[in-house]
Amino acid sequence: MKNMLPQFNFHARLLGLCGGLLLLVPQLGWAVGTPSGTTISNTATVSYAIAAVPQPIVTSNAASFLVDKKVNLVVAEIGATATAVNIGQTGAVIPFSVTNLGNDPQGFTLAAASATGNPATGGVAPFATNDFSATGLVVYVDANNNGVYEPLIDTATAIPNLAAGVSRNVFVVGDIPAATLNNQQSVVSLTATAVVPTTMAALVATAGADTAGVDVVFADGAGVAAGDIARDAKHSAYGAYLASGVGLLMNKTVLSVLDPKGTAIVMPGAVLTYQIVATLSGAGTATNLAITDPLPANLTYVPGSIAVNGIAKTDAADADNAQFVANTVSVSLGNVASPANFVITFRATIN
Amino acid sequence: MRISRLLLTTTLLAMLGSFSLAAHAADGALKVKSIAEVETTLVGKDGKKTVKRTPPEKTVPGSEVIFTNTFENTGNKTASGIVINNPIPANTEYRAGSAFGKDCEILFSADGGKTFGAAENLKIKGTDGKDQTALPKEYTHIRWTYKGQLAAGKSGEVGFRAVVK
Repeated sequence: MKNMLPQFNFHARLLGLCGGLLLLVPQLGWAVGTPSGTTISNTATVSYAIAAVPQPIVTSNAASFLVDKKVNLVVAEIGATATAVNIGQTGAVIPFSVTNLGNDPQGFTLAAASATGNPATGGVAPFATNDFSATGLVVYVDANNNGVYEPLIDTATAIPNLAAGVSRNVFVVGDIPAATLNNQQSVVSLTATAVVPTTMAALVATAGADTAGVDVVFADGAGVAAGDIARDAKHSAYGAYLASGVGLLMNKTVLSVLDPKGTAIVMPGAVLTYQIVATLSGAGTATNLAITDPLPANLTYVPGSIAVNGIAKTDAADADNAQFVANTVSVSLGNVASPANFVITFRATIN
Repeated sequence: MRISRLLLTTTLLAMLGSFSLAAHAADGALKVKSIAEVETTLVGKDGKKTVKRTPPEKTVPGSEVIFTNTFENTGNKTASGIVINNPIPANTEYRAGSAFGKDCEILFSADGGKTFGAAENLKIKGTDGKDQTALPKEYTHIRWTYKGQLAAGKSGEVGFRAVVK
């Protein structure tokens, strides 16, 4: 009955009909379970003889039952690696996948949260340390499931209907605070909750004994997020932002004060020596790095006082990289490989 | 592939259904009853595990179901040559090594019941057209051949386990 030929023909026709659909849903990796409401029925037949005379074949009753609704899902970070972000970056993206492991189509709500402290469970490398919290976390669904976050297209924040066995990419999008240091990591969890498709109403597991109809059975495992236990129609996974690239820290101080009497009293006529320390951290190259410092109105620049890393520079906009033009001290450092450190000093007189 | 198999097997079941109607008309001395059950393991307060069999409860893909066929000679003459034939239910996969039946030779089919063989000898045509050993999940039928005779009033039991696909 189940010879190969009709199967093959049918398959070929299915492909022909659904080619477009298959293109839209490329991730059909999981075996699809028997849909809920399917009746499974077993029947046996017996042949026998009485006094060597074959008797009519006897057929059993049909032992049957209904397949119940299995609610199961898995959330996974894609790549199992922390997402490299720039310090101060906005709209930084961590890709996740949500897979419907149940036997029916299901909707999924999505929520992202920053981990509190170092993750206790599921915090396996590279997601073990949590140094800072990314802000403004939002989850967007990859509308065309191409794995690339496209802000104009990927605007949905929940998955209304995901077929059984199908995966969908989602993106956690957040901002990296400017105060973040290089190599600091922010661990975030993504929690997906299976809900009724389209209406997004909560799913309720059938309590107690089996019912005659289709029961709802939660079959998900525990996730990493706090409170995400097994069999709660939720699953969660960690991802992380890793601040990398070039970080620039600037620190301006008054190094010394020299008043007209030779003491260090800040008064009109006193000369202040300013020090600007620029520190590049992380890996990479800062391109066209320029440090500018406009002088306030109550200060007068002391001509010829600019020094970079202890080397005196002229005030003119010339071959050396420092100048005093339009009441502003500026130093053009060009392309600078990180890590690097610059100390700029200049003097100004209090009016 | 899976969908096509499902459809075909449904057709198979429908055909079996019409068979059974015809067979019931001529009730013989032998009666056969099929039941489906699931096993649940209960852990008592003392930590001891007890396995309980119940009608299928909360049965979802991945659940293992036990199908048991009880055959009984309800006539007054001894029956012989008893052969029980059981197609693996649609949407389930046979669990390897689970078929049981006292005093029975148990053979399997992977070609819709056309040919039967012992599990280790069962072949199926691969996609390359060559014979290869059939996997338990590819079995389509189980056949028990009862060794010996079944006296009037006696009964026997055969069965197997299958996993909901």
